[in-house]
Amino acid sequence: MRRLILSCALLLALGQTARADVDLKFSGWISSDIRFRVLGEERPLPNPVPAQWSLLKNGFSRNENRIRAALNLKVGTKVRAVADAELQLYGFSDIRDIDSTTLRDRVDPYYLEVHAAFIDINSLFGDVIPRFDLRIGRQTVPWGAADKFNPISNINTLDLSDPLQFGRMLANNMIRADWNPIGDLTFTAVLIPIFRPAQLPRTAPSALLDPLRPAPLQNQGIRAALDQERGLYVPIVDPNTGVLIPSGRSLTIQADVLAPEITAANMQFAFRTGAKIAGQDVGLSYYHGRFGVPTPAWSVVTGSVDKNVVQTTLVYPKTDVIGVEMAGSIQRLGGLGYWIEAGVNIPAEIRMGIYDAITSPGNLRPLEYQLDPSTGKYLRVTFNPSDLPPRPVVVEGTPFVKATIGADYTIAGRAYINVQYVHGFIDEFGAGRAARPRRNSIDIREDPRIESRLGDYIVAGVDVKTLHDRLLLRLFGVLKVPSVDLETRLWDDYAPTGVLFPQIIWTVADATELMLGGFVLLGDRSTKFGDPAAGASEIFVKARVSF
Amino acid sequence: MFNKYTLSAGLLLSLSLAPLAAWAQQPPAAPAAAPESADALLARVDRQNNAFKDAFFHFKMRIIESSGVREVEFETKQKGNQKRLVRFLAPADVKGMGFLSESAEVMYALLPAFGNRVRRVGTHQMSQSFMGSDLSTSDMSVIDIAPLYAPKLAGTEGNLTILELTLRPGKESEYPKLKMWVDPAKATIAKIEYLDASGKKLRTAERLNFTEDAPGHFSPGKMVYTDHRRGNHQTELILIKSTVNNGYTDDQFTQRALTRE
Repeated sequence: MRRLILSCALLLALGQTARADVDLKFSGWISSDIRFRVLGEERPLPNPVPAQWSLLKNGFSRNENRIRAALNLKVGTKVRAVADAELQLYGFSDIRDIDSTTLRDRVDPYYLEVHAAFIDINSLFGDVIPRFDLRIGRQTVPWGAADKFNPISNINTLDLSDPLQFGRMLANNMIRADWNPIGDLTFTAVLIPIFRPAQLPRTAPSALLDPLRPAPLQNQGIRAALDQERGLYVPIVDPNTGVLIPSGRSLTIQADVLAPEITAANMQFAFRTGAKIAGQDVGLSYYHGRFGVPTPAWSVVTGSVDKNVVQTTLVYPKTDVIGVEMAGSIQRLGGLGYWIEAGVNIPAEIRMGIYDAITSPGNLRPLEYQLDPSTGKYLRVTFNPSDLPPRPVVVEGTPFVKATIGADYTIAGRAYINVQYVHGFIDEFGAGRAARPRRNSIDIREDPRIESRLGDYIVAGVDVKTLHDRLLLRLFGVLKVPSVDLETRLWDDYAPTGVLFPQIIWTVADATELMLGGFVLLGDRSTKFGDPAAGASEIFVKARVSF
Repeated sequence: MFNKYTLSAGLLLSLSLAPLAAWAQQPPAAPAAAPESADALLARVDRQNNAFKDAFFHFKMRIIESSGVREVEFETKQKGNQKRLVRFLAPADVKGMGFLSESAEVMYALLPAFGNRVRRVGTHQMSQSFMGSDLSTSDMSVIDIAPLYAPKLAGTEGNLTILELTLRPGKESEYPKLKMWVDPAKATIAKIEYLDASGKKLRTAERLNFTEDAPGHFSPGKMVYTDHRRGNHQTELILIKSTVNNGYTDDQFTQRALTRE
């Protein structure tokens, strides 16, 4: 931290005495964010750093301070360099033993995030190829006409750790070239050498580590067979007393994540072209890379029947995305703003291998399931290695579409309304259907609800300004609506769920804001937003001053 | 999800419309000996409002409230009547934001808080006030007054000629009537009162401290807007710097220019 400050001071001093065509700007903000979690499900340890930051049913979920600083250096009109970093102080301690109490980074943990560190070169080839620009370094490339829910913006993965942000782009090192040959016609190419995974929320691992959740398989028959086998580990309800009797056996799931190898074959790249047709902005794009949220690819059952340890490995799904977008303003409707954005995803299929190391510890044997016609259920069988059926599918290779359609309008110059229809939420990936968590987490007999992997949502918000724009009252919400899987023509077993996000933003002075609000997750635990993996409702207080 | 200032994109652009025309005005031809008609005077005002090919303006807007004064600083580049690129300089929470108008129907906002995303903005946002100021869209977007309003001579006040303007049939405006004080020597507007249909005064705009910012060009150094509907709430628009006919090209009014300059 001290070195950062000294470096900034040195840069500023150099700026004072450097060439006349050097322009240096310094900006940033200081903020605090305190949140209290309400009526969540506790997530037991082990927790990642910091240990004091455990998620209680009711308790402080954030106690952050952030200091963000950005340097913008221009050298003439041709070159620009931007550095943008943010120091986050957790506000919690990570103390586990006496030694950790002697370490400052355990007593007061922090991390440094770099949002940008790039060099811009405008008109790289001068008049030979006019308006050909190059940007190299750590950056974000936001594509898409929609607000926040951008199915064609895949170059940067998302930080999903803060639900209030609905996915904030994570900067990554890349090379970007833009060419604007004439008017509004643009061509963009981006190369990303190394994949950066998404940042998941602290509650997300419970979606995989909870052994009593339905397995994430497309085939519901095989999924039901696995669930049946897990019944050995479910507490039993005493029919006389109603008390839960532990099963006496344990099932633990460990999850490892396999990041893509840093090879040329695993580089990501993307192209986009944009233009204006009849006054409307249109764009066409292509992305080759991976989805930022990992998916289970294989599991090895180890230990013993009584102490079963399932070691699962997750991978990042490969995908190609062809994107289209359009945005404009409809004068006949009072200048209504609209946008349409859609991405056709062509994923690589992922099939999940399940292997048995309990009965054959030195020679992993695949567990396979076959449909028994007499019962209509899937049973575990042993095949000859040469006769193995295909492994169950986790991510289908079937192309699927994620889309956002929206519009905004201002009423009486004071109330701003924004409404979007979203097909496929930011964390959803893949065609087909999947089982939701059970309403009663320990009742294996309960049939879980089956929903399309890509849900449909209405996302809407209204802003009202008062007190000469000093006070902004904001209400934002998400409502999941019933979906139909286009392949099977099956409708969801629907249960209502949504989010309410009210805020009051008070500009107490220039560049100074106080915010008070809540983030309310609605729906039972079998629903998308009621699922404990999605987090819990929170109330928050924030303050920020910009400079 | 939304930066609160994206909601005010349209009005910031509209800040640059009509007043920019007022900033750069060439001295008129010497008035004819015969009394000038209201139509002729208004036509001269409109001609002089469009007397430049392009312009650069650096403004400071002061929003005067009971709790104090809020200041917003911005620069505007303009080419003709339609192309406009605006950048905020202060306060810090809006610094770096930019807006581009390629025409009356095509506008974009540059959003630093969202990774410098360029967002197409619906023209409905022109109806919003900017940061609680008293600047409205109608007086900002009217470059040529004569096509909208029919003038009538209504006397003199000192060296100023008073015009009463009535909205022409078939035209739409927030203000059905205007009362305008014009300096016939320079064809500059010294004051406008915005009236409702019954003649009740709703707003007043005064233009002060005219200076010559280029040979033969006069610009008001200060404009004061008073909204009588909001307890005489006032906004001052102070011109810090202006230059005209800078030789701007169309390249400087594109989405690329919005993100890279």
